[in-house]
Amino acid sequence: MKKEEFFDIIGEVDEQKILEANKGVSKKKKAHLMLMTSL
Amino acid sequence: MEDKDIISLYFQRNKIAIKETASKYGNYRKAIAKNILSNNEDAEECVNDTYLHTWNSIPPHEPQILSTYLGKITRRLSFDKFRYNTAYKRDGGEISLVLDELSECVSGNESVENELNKHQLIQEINNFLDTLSKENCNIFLYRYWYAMPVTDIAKRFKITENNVSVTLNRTRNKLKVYLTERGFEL
Repeated sequence: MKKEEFFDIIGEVDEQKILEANKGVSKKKKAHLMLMTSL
Repeated sequence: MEDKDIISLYFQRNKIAIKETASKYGNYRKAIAKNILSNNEDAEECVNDTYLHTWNSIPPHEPQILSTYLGKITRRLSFDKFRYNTAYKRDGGEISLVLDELSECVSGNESVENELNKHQLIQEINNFLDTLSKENCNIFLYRYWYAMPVTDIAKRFKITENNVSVTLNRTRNKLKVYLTERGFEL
């Protein structure tokens, strides 16, 4: 498998996990805000 | 505005939906696009494209989690743009590093996976993520879903960059073993 395809497949993991990753950090460190302002 | 209200606006074909989406999730989308593209102009262009894609896909699709749905569209469009850019050797950036790391988990050969196998593979990756500690799972997702730089992950988790790199390396190795044991020769 090509690495690009593997990156695509990782993009399809459970949406709840992506949400929890964001929430989990934001609770402790306001990371959601940091992500939003990481430009 | 609540996500369910924004989704209702899309179903009503009310263009205020786009304005509300931009207001609530514009910066979130920009951050994802910027992680992948490392170029403000391209990132801005991708974010603008995501509004049309969102408008065209809701309905019929009704997202369960609006933020992640928008993030997925942004991630996909940004990665398409990255591929276009690299085809013409116009870009590199963080995503090149992310892909190089992921290359340790795969052969690099043309895939013969069919849609069913891909679905099973995604499920096994989900199962694998469930075996990780919360922190390690989140570090993995920040790196390989959000394509976030190691430096930024280290700051967020208040650990050293070396710790992040070591954690990611161990997780990649575990993932490769996990998938191989379940019959996936990637």
